[in-house]
Amino acid sequence: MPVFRAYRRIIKKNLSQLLIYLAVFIGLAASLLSSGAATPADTVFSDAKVKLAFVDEADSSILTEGLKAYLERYANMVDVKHDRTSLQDALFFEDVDYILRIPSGFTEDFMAGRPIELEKTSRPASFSSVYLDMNINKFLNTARFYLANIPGISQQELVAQVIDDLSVETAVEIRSKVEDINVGDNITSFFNYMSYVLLSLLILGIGTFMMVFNQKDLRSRTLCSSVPLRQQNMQILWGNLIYAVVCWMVMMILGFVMYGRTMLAKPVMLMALNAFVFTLVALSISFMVGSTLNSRNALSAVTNVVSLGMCFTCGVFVPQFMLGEKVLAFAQIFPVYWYVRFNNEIINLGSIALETFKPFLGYMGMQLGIGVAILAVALVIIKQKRQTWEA
Amino acid sequence: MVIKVENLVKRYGDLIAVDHLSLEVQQGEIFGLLGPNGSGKTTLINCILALLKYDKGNISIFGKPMRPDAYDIKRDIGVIMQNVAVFNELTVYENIDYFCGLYVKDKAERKRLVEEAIEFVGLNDFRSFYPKKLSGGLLRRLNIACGIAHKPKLIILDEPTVAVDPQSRNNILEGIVRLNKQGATIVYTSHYMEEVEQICTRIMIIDKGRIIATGTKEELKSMINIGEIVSVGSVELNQTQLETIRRLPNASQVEYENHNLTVTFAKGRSNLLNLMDLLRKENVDYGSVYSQLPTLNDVFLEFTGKQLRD
Repeated sequence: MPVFRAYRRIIKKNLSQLLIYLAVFIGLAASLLSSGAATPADTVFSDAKVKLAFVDEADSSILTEGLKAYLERYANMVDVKHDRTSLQDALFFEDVDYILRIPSGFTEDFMAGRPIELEKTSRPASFSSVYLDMNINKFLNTARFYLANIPGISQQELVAQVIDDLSVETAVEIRSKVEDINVGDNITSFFNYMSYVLLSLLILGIGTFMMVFNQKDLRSRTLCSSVPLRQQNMQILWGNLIYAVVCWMVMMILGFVMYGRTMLAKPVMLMALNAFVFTLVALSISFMVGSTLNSRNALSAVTNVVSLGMCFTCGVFVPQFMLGEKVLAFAQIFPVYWYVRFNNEIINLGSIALETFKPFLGYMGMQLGIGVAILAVALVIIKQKRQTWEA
Repeated sequence: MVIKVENLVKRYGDLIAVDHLSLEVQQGEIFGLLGPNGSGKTTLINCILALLKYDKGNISIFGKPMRPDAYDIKRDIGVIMQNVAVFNELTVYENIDYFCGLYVKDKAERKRLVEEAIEFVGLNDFRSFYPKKLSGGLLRRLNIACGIAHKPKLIILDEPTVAVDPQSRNNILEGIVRLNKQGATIVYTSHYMEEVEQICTRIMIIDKGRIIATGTKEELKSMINIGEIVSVGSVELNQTQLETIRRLPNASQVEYENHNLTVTFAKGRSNLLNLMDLLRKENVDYGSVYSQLPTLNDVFLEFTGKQLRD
């Protein structure tokens, strides 16, 4: 395996340069991990109380007082003058989040089973107001239920029953696979940044060997030998494949060092598979670069242009949702786009079944398709080069 | 017979690089291919090695047709290219090991051969050096070691001494003769006639892809009608004396320039003595005098009308 041996030695000679790229990645990943430690986990739930102005125009009946008492559990009651201007000012200056107005005649209508209407005003796009809506509806719906089923029930009894019913609480434990990934965003970034390092390491490593080995004089000299051409090409192919797989494995080991058991979570393992597919595509890109270039300086420049260019355009350094539509449309011709999209979407997938995984197979298929196309171009370039030499 | 080329034609578009050329190299020879730059030497070598497709003709080595996939033939050929073909990323030892490994699989055997090759070219002190740290001469020696490490029966050297200092050149030439004595057949191309004269047992002179002449150096020189060339330095001559010199027996050409006289004599006896007698009779003083036998350059000049280094 002389060609393979030479491959190993050439990579060894360039190891220091390759390690620089790896060190940059480790630095980035470490900073991601440290920023992740400060981010509060999303698995703890706690109530937030809404600032509520309760405007009762129904002469404070037992029913409305009961409603008010119930809502006090979920809201902080704020005293505001009941005139329209004061209420609007309170809402504007955020003294209150929600104004609930009980119109006169409400209690009579409700007890008689007639349709009732409450007037509410809340700050726009306030999530907490929705929460309060739910509680108001819950109280009134439960009260209607008793009213319909216990004829002649008094307001006092009604309020007591409703409050008693709504006091029952059930302990809820959130069981989710996603719960294991308490560094979800960070691990996605880790895998996304990995595309930059894989591209750089592969273009530099494989590109260097291909460029050296394809020098006309060296190639001619090797062709004079008794090692069949097919065997030489196979040794090059194995060298490239082993180098690519080793790079991928180094990344995975790094992932285990930084994220531990999280790497075994199903979505993360699928991201690792996606990274492997991307490694094969990066291999074909590197093969083409190495077969085209003749100068080391050009190789360094191309390594940076290709890896940084693709990563900036495809949403590695800047998230895809922040990129313009035209940029994203253009980015679709690059494998990095599909690689990043896979990572961004798989982490948010609740359950992974064959049906939900189909689009992700498509993303990997796109990457492989682009990889095959690039490889075909590289082979044409090599053939043309060889024909030029032989002519 | 080691190499047989019959009626070989290689064209680059309209240019005929090798023009109906035939040659035979016998076992144990040091066969010299002499010609100026661009005469078709390297193209011929590349055709022989099946690195180039040719338009017409047949090439056989060790009695078998030479093709790109004739790996059994290639096993016994050592190639030293005109341009140094080594990996800058590998050390001297690793480079020789790589090229030897293209022919020899056994690790222990390869190690022994690499050591012998290093010893042979005198790179023992530089085995861990990278090629960029080597001088031009040492680099050429490395190039040779890479080509001969697997002990080939046929060694093809394409201008191995280009841009090499005289000491390294002598070293290389001595090495080639030693390889020949060890049993290898050598094909040596060069545009340096002195080297070819020095080591080759048979020489083919080519120009514009065509054979000019083939033979031993003595045979080649006998093909032209030059016996010797006498040069006299720091000499003062008038027109009459020059005419007398021109009338000397066998004098075919007389040149007088900047007080230097050059007389080319055809083959004959006492040419130098005749000239000296004449100068003495004419009372002509001179600073130096030396006689030179014809060179391959004179052969080339006679056949093509131009110098080898034109």
